[in-house]
Amino acid sequence: MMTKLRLNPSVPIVVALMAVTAGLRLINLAGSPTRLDDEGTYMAQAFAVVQWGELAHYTYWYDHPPAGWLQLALWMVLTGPGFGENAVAAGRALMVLVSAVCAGLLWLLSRRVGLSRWAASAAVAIVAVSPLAILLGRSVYLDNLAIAWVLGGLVLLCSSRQRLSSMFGAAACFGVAVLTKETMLLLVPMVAWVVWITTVPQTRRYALTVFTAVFGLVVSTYVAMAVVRGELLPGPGHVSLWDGIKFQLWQREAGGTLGDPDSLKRHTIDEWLRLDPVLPILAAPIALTALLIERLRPYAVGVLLLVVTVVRPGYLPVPFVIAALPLTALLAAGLGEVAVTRLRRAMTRRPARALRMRTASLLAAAFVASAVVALWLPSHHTVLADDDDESLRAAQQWISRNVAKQDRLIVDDAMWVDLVREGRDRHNVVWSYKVDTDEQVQELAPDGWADYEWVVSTPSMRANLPDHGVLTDAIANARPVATFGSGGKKVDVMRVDSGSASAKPAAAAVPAVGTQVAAFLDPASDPDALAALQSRTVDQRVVAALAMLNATQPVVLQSISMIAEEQSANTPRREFTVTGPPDRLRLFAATLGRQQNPFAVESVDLTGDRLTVRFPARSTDVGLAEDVAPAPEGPAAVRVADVRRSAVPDRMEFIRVDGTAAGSLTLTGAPSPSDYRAIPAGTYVMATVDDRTGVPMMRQAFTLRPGAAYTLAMFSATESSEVAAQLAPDSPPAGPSPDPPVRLLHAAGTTGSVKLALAPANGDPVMLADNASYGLVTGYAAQPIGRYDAVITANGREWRRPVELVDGAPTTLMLTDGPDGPGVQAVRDVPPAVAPPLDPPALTLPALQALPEKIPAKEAAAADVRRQAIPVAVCLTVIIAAVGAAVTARRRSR
Amino acid sequence: MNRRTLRDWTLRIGVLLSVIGAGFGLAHTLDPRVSEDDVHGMRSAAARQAGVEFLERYVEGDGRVVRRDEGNDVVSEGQAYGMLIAAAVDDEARFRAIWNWTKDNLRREDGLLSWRWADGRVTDPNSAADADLDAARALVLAGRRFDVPEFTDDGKRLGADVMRIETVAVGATAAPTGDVVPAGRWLMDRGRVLVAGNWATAAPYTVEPGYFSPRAERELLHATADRRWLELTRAQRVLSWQLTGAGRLPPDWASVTDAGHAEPIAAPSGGPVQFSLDAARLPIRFAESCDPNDRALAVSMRPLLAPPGDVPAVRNLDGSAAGEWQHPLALVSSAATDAAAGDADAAAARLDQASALLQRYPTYYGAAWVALGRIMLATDLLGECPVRGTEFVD
Repeated sequence: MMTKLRLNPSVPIVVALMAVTAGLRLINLAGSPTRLDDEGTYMAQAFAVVQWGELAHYTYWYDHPPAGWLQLALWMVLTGPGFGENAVAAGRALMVLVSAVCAGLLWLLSRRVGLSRWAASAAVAIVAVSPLAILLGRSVYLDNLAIAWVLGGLVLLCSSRQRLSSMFGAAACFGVAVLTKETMLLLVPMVAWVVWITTVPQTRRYALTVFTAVFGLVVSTYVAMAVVRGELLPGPGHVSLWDGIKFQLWQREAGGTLGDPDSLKRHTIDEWLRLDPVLPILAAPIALTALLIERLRPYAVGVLLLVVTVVRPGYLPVPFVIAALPLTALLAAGLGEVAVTRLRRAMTRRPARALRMRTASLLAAAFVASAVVALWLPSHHTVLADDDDESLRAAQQWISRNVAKQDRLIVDDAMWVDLVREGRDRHNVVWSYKVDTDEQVQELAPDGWADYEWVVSTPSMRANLPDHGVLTDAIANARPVATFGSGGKKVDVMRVDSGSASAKPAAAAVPAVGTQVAAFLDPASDPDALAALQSRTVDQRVVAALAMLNATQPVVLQSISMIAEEQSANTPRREFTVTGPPDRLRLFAATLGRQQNPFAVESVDLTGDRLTVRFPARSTDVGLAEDVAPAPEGPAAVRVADVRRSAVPDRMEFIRVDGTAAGSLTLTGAPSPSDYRAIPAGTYVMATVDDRTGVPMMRQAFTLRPGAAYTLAMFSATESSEVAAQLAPDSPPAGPSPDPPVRLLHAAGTTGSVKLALAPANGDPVMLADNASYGLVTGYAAQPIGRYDAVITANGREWRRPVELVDGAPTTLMLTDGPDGPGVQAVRDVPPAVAPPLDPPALTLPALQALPEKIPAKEAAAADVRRQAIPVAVCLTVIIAAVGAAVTARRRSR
Repeated sequence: MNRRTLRDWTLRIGVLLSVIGAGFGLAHTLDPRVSEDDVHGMRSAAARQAGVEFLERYVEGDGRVVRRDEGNDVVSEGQAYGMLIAAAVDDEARFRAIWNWTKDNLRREDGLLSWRWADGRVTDPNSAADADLDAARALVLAGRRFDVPEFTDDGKRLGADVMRIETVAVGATAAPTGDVVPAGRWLMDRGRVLVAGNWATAAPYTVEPGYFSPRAERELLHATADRRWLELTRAQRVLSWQLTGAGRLPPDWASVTDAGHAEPIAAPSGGPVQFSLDAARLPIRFAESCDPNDRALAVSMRPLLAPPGDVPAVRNLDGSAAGEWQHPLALVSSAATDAAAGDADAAAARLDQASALLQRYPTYYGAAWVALGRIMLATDLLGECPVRGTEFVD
C-alpha cells in the first residue's frame, strides 16, 4: 500500500500570495517613497531606545504610545547597525516582513469569515498589488505594525474552536495594536461586535469580561508608565500624558476640509488617490453595500468608522488609510463572492439565459479589471521603478563628505540616525521640528539661528515651515551650496551665513587671476578648461594649486569639472584633471595629497596619465576672490612676522600666478618682523617649504599693489601643525595723518584673549583692542605722539609696558609672550626707499611616495553575525512554516 | 477547427479585447492625475499657443513682422524672431513668407540684413548682428524641419556672412603690454566675438552681450563645420564672465578690446549703463544652451534676477531696481535663471507671470519674448540637446 502526503491546498496559495506581497514591497524598497520625516522619527526613537535607553531621541512627550518603536528597536537589535542601505531602509525591511504576515492573516481571516479560497485569494491579492498598499505598506509607519496586531486579534476571535485562550490572545493583540498606534481605538466597535458574534450566548458574558480585562490591562500599562514617570498630569518642567492626549484630540492643526483644495486634508487624500484612485474611492460604497451581508457587517462598520473619521473635520495623517485597506479588500472580495454566487443561482434558475448572462458578466468583469489595471499601472511604475529617494540620498552623501563633524545641522529626521551613526554628536544633528518646539534644543542654541551652520531643506521641511521662528530665520539667512533634484524632490544643502568668515559662501577666483594662470599653462591644455579658468566659476584653491604646480613642472590641464548639484547653487568648481607623464603626475599627487587646510584636498585620483584632484566643498577665502582696481606698475615691499607657536625650519616661496619669477624668504622663527623686501606687484600664491621634507605647502594667496608695503604674519592655526597666514597692508586706508597710526598684532600664543589700552602719562587710557585673540591684526587708529603705558589685561591680570610713539609713522604694537607676562614691541611700518629683493626662488617638488587614497573606501562592515543570521532566520522561518503546513496535511492511501 | 468556429472565436476575442480596450480608455480618460509627460505637454502647448498668438498678431500676410506699438515699422530682429517662432510651431507657410519678405526687402549686398524698414523703404541700412544670427539659426533649423534644402543653404550663407563681417578676432596667447595690476584683463585664447553690427568692427569693439547666442552658434557649427563658431561661443562666455558674476549683471552694451577685455559702456545713443531689455536676453540665450558651462552663467545671475517679489525691467548693474517699470522680458529673464538652475517649476511660474503681464500690457517685444522664452526654456521646439551635452561637438 502506498501512502502520500497531500498538502492542504490553501498552503501553496497563501505562500504564493505572501511571496507576491513581500516581493512587490521589496522591489525598489529604498527608492520609493523618498524617506519620510515620520519614518526617520520612528527609527530615531528606536535608535534612542537601543543606544541610550531612552524612549525618544528628544524629550518623549506622549505623542504616541511607544510600543511601535519598541518593536522597531527589537528589530534594530536583531539586525544590527549595518543592515539596510540606511536606517529607514532597515526599518522598511521589517515592514515588508509585517506585510507578508498581514497577507497570511488576511487570508486566515477571510476564510474564517466564510469566504471561499478564491475570494480569500482575491482579498489578499487586492492588498498585495494595490500601489497605495505597496507604498504605504513598506513605509516605516506604526499603522503597519498596528494593523498586523489587529488582524492577528481578529483571526483569533474568529477561531472556530472558541477557546478562552483565543479570546485572551485576541484581547492582548488588540491592546498591543492600540499601544502601537492609538488610532486603532477607532476599531473598538468593530472588534466588540466581532467578539459578540463569535461567542455563544452561554459564555458571552464571561468572554466579554475576559476580553475587556485583558485589553484594559495591556492598554493601562501606558497610563502606568506615565504614572511611574510622574508625567500623568501636567506640571511645571515636565511633559504629561494628558498634554499628549489633548494635543492629539484637540490641539493638533485641523487640516482643513475635504472641500478646500488647498487644505492639508485634501492634499493627503489627493496623495492617496494619486497612488490608487480605486480603493480609497470605493471604500465607502463597498462598506455600505457590505452592510447587507451579515457575516461582513462588523467589518463594514469598521471601514465606515474610518471613512467617517476621514470626512469629519480634524487632522488626517497620511498613513491613516493603512488600517482601511485590508478590511476594504476583505469586503470587496466578500461582495464579489456573493455576487458570483447569486449570478450562478440565477443562471441555474434560467438555463436559457445562462450563456448570455455568463458572457455579459465576464465582459463586465474584464471591463472593470482593465479599468482598474489602467488606473494602477502608472502608480506601479512610480512605486516599483522611480527612485524618489535619489535627492535625499545624494544630499546625505554630500553632507558626509563635505560637512565637518563638529558643524551643527538642522535636518529632516529621515537622515537623523544615519548622520548620528557616522560619528556626529546627537546635539549637532537637530531635527527641524524640534528647533522651535523643544526647550532643550533651544537651550543648546542660545543665539537662535546663528548657532546653526547648515540647514538641509527637504520638501517635507518646506511644507511644514512655520511662519516665524529659529528654523525660518535660519533658512532666511542661508544660501544653497548644493541642490539635489528639482521640483517636489528638491533637497537643498544650505549654509547658514551667521556673519563669520567661515560661514561666508565660497567665492570663485576672479577671471583676471584665472587668465594669468591659463596663459602660463601648457599649450596642450584643453581650450574649454582654459575658458573655464577664465570664468568666475572656479574655486580659488584650484587656481592656486595650478599656479603652484605650474611653477615647477609643465601642467596640461584637461578639465575643470562641474559638479552638477553644486552648479545650480553657484558653488565654484572644485575638481580639476591634469594629464602628463605618470612620473610628473605622481609628484603632483604626492604634493597635493600632503596639503593642509585651507588647501587640504578631498581626493587625489591618479589613473594612468590622468590625475584628478578634488578639494572639499567647505572652503575659506584664500585671497583670489577680489577684483583689484587698476594701478600703475611698480614694486611692492613685504616683510614677514613669523609668530608661530613653534618654530619650524622652513622658508617661504612666493609663486606669482602669471609665471614670472618671484622669490623666497627664509623664516627665522623670530617674532620680530623681518626687513622689508622688494617684490614685483602682482598676485601670488605663498607656500612654506619645510627644510626637512622639501614639500611646498600652500598657505595663502594675495595681490600686492605697487608702492604699497605689507606685513605677512605667520600664525599657528588651531591645529598645531597648520599655519595661518595673514597679509596686512602697512598703511592706514585713510592715508597720512599728523598723529601716528597704531595697530595691534597679537603674537602672544600663550596669553589668550587680551584687552589693550594705551594710557598717556596724564590722561585717560584709549582702548586699542578688546577681546583680541592670538592671530589678530587690528586696523590702524591714530594716536598722538608721546609716551604711553600699554595696559594689557588678560585672564584677570594686568600688565603695563612702556611704549613710545616718536613720529607720525605707522606703528605696529606686537604683543609677544615673555617670561613675566606678555610684552609689547613697537615696530615702525615704513619700508626703506629701496628694499633688497627677495632671495631667488627655489621651488621644486620633492620625490615622495604618493599618500594612500585620500578618501578611504567605505569602512568594511564589522563582522556582525546578525548580518548572516537574518537571512538564515528568515529561511528557517519559511522552512518551519512549510513543515507546519505539512503537519496539517492528511495521509491518504491510494 | 472549422471556419465557423474560428470565426466565432475571433469574434469573441475581438469583443473581449474591445471591452478591455474600452476599460483602459475610459480609465485613462477619467484619470485626473497629471503625469510629468502631461506637464511637459501642457508647457509645450502653452509655448505653441504663445508662438501662434505672436504670429497671428504681428505678422502680415506678406511676411512682415510689424512692431505695431513702435510706429508700425519693421526690424530685422522682428523678422528673425518671427522665423524662429514659425519654425518652432511648424508653420512652414508663415516661415516662407517671412523669409521671402526679408530677403526681398532687407538683404544687403554683403548678405546681411538691414536692421530697419518703414514706410515702404529701408530707413537704416546697417545690420544688427542678433537678427542676422537668429535668422541664420532659424533657416538652418527650418531647412531640417521642413526638409527644404534652400533654407539650409540660405542659413549657411547668412551664417558665413555673419562670421565674416560681424565677428572679430580677440584675445591673445601671451599677456599684452601694459597688463599689470591687476594682470589678466585679457582673454587667453584665440577667440572671436560677435560685434553689434557691421558698423562696430573697429577696436575697441562695441558689443551687445544680449546678442551672444550659444545655441545659434552651435546650430551653425553643426551646419557648416566651421570651428570658429566654437571659438566664438567660448570667447563670448569668458567675456560675459568678465562682465558679470560676484553680484554684478551684464550691461546692455559693452566694449571689447583687441586683447579681449570687456567693459560696460553706455548705449551709443547715450543714457546710463544698465541692465535692461537688451541685456535681459543674455540669461535666456545662455539658459537654453546645451552646454552646462553656458548655463552656469545664467545660474550665476539668479540671486539678482530671481528673488521673490516684483521684477523690474531696468536694473543697475548691481542688481538694484532702476525704476518700477515692468516688462514681460524681465520676467522671462528671471525664468531663464530658474530654468538654468534646474528649477523648472519656478521657471514655469515666472513664464506664466510674464504671460499675465503681457495680457495686461501687450507689446510686440513682450509678445516675442514670451513666446521665445516659453519655446527656448520649457520645450524642445527649437531642437533637442544631445544626451551627452556638447561632448560630440568637440
